[in-house]
Amino acid sequence: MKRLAAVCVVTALSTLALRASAQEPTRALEADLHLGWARQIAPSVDHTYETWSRNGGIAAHGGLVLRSRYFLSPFLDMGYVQLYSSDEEKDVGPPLGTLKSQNSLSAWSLVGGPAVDIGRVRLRAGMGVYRLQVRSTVLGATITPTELDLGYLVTLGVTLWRSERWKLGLETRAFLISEAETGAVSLGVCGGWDTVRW
Amino acid sequence: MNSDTRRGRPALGESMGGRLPLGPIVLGLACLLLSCDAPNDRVIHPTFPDGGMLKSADELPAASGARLRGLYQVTAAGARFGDTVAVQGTRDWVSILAAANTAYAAMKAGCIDNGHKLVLEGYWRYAHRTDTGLIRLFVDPPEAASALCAGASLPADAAPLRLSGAVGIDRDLPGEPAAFSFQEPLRVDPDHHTFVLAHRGGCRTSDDCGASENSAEVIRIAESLGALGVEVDVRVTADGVPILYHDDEFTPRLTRGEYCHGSVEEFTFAHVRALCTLKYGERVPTLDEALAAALRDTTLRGVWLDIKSASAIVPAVHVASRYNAEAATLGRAFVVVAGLGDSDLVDAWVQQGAGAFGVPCLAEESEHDVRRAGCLVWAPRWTLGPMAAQVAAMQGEGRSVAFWTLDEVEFINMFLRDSTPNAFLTNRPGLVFQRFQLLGAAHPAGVEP
Repeated sequence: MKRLAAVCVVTALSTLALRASAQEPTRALEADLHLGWARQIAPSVDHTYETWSRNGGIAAHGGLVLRSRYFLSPFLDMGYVQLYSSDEEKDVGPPLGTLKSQNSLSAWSLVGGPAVDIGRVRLRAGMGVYRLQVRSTVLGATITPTELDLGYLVTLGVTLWRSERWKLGLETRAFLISEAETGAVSLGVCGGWDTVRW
Repeated sequence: MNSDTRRGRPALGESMGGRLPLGPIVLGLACLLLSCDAPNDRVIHPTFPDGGMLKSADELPAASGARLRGLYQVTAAGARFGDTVAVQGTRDWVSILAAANTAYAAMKAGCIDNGHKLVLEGYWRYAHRTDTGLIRLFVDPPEAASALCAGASLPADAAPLRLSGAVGIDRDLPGEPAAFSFQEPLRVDPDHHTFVLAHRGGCRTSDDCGASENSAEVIRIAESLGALGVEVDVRVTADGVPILYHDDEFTPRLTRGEYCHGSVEEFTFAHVRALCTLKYGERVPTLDEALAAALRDTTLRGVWLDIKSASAIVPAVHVASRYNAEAATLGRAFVVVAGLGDSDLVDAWVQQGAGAFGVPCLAEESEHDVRRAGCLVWAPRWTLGPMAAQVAAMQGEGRSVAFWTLDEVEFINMFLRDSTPNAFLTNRPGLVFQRFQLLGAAHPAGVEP
């Protein structure tokens, strides 16, 4: 049943995309925005000590794509993703005993790479820097350590509506921060605006 | 025909000579993302089902393990252990330490049949690989086994000791014959010379010797690997608690924990405990806990603290001085040495007056650093070469010399042949132990407890 639903969704999106594939100019500097919901898929989380948790959260990205006459269009993308939040209660033994903590993990990113447009479908793959941001409060003390790592991004988007300079669609993103072994996917709406075209 | 082709821009499919294989690309990326969630390929050292013969055995008297020490000829299982092995016996372990295949066997001993038979059971392992299996050996001749089980010395008229039995592969019960015949006593006495220092508490996490690096658990098994002392890495938390951890940041390379990311010095100790465990699930130990494990749970002779920052010097030597004092009170041959990895740390040591705590120090970078800080140990990196003249000069001043970090048999042989080091820091303690017995010699030392 799920497969059938997925096929229907893909077919509908493809139809919309093909119908909308008309008048994209060859060269433009396009500003993009993605707003969606993210879900962490790696690493697996140990839920043993959680009293509350939420996997994922807001994913917000903005960037630029330089569309050219060549099939690879360079892009630069900045973003913020909420990865995981939880309250935990853990007995860590003496002398601290049971510790309660409120924690969250998010990631900031700056990624570049090539984009490929196939009709109204856009595929992007890139690499860049990810800054993992922890926020944790234990015994009234809050820390906000960060870890800077290399990461990889892939996105798949489809344009559903387009005007002269504007376009709107859906996009799914997946990224992997290599050394932190952290990965997430997000799904959301994306918009684009041709700031300059020639 | 789409707009791109109308404008003279080739459609993607045409330019590629076919359609872009989106499906495989997305699938591949999904696999890549999910693969980082795969469990670690740990080496699980096998144990005997139902506890083996040791389950119903009586404990071997503490002093008897040392009576099994010696250089033994391998008469069966030579393909695994080579021609000659060193057998090291301590209060808690009997270990077979070989150069071939970096093989070692870590065994516990017990007496059965009313103290007439002495059995050794445990596992063998190639330290540089993942090969492992069970091992079970019996001590012969019977009169020697009876004497050892009674806590007595070996009978003078008894035949030479022989350890015979079998080894298995992975979890299979031992079926491949193994036998070792006593040849001669150890040449460098492990009760008086600390010539093998195990890196990061016993082994690196990537070596997977049974516990994570820099854990209390790995310190407790370090002796079974052939170590006589251990080196550990000391950092300090935001609230001034010295802990054991190598890197300057918590990352999944060495730790677990959803929120265990970022600079160690930003974490309070409560945060470390609440958010982080070591790679194989152990706690990140305080220096206090680590030294307590080394002093009270093992018969190790020393701990080298590799102090990672100037801010950690005073907290570390404060704890170290307590354990040196406790060791003296207990009459235990044990000393904690403060390691200073570079000239900046030596400067900080001098400026902070850390020498006043009475903890001996070790300097790595130069002989000049050793002298100006008043250290008793010089620990040059092995890539500088054997430096026989400098080593002899240091020893002539009453100091010890320990090279770091030697793991390859060719280089260990070269350093033992061309120089006169007191010790090696190593990730292969069993290999260094065996090589030292065959090629090395005891040299005057500045910090032997």
